[in-house]
Amino acid sequence: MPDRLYIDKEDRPYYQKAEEENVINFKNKNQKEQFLLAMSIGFENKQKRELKTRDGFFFSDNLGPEGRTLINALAIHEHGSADVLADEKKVFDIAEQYASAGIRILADSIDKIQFGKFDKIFEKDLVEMLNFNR
Amino acid sequence: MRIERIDLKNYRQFRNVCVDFGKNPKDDLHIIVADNATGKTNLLNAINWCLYGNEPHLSKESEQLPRINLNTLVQAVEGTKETVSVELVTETEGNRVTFKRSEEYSVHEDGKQPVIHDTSFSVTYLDDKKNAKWVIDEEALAYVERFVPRDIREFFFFDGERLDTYFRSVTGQQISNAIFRISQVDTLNRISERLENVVNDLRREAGKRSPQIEGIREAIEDKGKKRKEIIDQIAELGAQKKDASQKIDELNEKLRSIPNIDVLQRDQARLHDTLKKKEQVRNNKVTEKQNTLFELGILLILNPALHASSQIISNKVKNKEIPQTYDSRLLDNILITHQCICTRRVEEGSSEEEHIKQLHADIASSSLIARELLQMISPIEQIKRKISTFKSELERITKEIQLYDEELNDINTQIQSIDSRISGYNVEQVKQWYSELKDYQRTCEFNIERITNLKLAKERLDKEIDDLNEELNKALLKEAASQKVRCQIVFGNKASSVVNNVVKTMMDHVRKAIEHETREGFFNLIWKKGTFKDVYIDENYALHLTHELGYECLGSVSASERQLLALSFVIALHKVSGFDSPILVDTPAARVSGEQRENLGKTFHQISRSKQLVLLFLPSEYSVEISRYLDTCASSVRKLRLTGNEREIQMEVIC
Repeated sequence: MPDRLYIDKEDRPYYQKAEEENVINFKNKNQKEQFLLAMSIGFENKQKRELKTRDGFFFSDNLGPEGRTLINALAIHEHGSADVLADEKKVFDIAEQYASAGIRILADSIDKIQFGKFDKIFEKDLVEMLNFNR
Repeated sequence: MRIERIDLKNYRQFRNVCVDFGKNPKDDLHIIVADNATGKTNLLNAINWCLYGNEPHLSKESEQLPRINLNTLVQAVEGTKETVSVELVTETEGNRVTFKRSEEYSVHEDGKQPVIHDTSFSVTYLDDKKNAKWVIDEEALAYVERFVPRDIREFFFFDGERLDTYFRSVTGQQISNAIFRISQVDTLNRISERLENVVNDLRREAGKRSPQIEGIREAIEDKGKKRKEIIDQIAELGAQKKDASQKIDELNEKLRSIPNIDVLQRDQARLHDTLKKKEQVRNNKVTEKQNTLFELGILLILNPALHASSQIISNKVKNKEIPQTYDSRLLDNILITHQCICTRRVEEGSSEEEHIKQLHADIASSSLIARELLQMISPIEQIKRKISTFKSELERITKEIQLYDEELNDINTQIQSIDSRISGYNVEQVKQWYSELKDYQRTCEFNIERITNLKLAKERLDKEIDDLNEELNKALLKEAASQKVRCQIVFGNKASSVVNNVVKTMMDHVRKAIEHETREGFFNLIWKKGTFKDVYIDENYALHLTHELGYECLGSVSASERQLLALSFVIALHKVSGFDSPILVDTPAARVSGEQRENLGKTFHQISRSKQLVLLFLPSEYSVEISRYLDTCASSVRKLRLTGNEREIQMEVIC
């Protein structure tokens, strides 16, 4: 059973970039929170990426009930059934692959969006998403 | 008394100017019209300098310049001497009296200030036998005092522009001095002093006859000395207060249109401090918003996945797949005992055992899934609640940030406004002026408090001296040999008291007369006659103006009304004083307009029938409203103009 969640070693600079630019207070977030955001962005963009060199990022014990729920939900959505939950490694793999793609998308957006505007656009997207869901 | 001629030689802009004040049969009115900085006020200064040796109306620019005319200075040969002189030819008490002040300058090389070499003041007059006499020093000054006494010259030669602030600069004490001079009670005061000396001598004589009387006398003398010290202190503090008041007025005048930079800078520092604090709070709010976006962003983006899981969980709950209903311990027991619950034997390696083993594995797996799903129910509910409050939470924080931004903008605007108000001023100089103003105000307040205390102490001493005099009288009554001296002392005291009362009565009488004339004059000049109820001078010689509704309004009336009141007061002083000295007013109608100008014109015309009046107007001031009254009656209307190099004045006679 995996005791931690991994990122690709090559993902590190992207996390570092997001911290340096400190979009939506990224640098003051712990690694679990950073991972979950990257994962959600990957999911939003329907992008996954296989990890080449696995690099431990945080212990699974730190996920907490909400974090575990989010990872499980993602795996269920991906797999189409709850049976995937019987294989924790697979659940983690799915999360890690989305996070690896997500952090790259985030870093790319930071590059493309004018400095200081990221938070505004992120907020706008979320509000649109919220209105759409309703 | 009148000025017949002024001769100015090398005095400031007047290199060689003679102004002849010949009068026509009816009126003795003389008009001089001149632009700003063309020597109008310096004509006033020239008269003051000639008579009293100073120039009270000098502008800041003129203060920096030597008294000697600049053209003369430039053209003078190095090492030579040049003379500045002002000669005032007057008709005083039927006699021609000429006042002349001159200053001799040594001229040095270019760029160096000329050095005053010699100064002199003299008076020339004709004696009874029509012989010319020439006097200097005290004797010359006595003639000045007869012409226009130094103490009250400000009521004769004055700047009309300052009439607006007249009652700030002219204190009750000055008015009191003027009334004292006008009442001509000097002789009575001298009599009072002499009587006091005589009574003191008599007491001393009585004291020789009895140690008890001598003791009382010494006590009276001692208290008398203390009383005099207190009176001197009151006078000293009064003079200090007057000086401080004058400085306050000067500084207020300088600072009239200048903001209080010290206060503004303190305000600005306070605003910067508030700005810093508010910025910090605003930044915290921005961070709070970022955290909300971060946390709720994850939840919102993953909401479809959460929704799918929620559906699956609901279905499983509906199908009673969860919570788990199988008892895996029962299957364990069958596999260990090889006996089914129906007591049938389950053979090892049989298809039944294989089926049970598969069932056991399936149950174990579905139990793990069920457990995971069950554990997801509560967090999903919590996440749904968080998402439902997301919009309102975001709106709340955004609104708070907007409010802080507005406040910060407002503070920044205030800071910029202060910056623009301060810019262009010599900050250190202005701060220095404000600091001086504060010091003088403190001195004034302190002196007022001390004067009040000293006056109370003087009252106590007066009472003690009265009691001691009573005691002395009783002691003298017991001494048969001292009856004569006792009567003399009592008489001396009574006489002194009578003289002092006469002085007070005369001053009161003059005060009342001036008050009456001021009231008459003011209500004659003023346009809005119904606005004001009364004008009066109180016992401390302060002038008051009462609004028709009964409140004191001198401080709140318009500048022109204040100027008219000041003018009425000055004219009243002249009428009551009996001094028929001339009046010279610089910019007499500076702050007066419309109908009030007409009234002013009429008043000047009227005054000029009984005494000499010299008025120095700005061209804009000498408007039709005034000139139509004055042009016809004026003995002369002259115009001053500067020469090309602006260092010299020429005078043109207009009519």
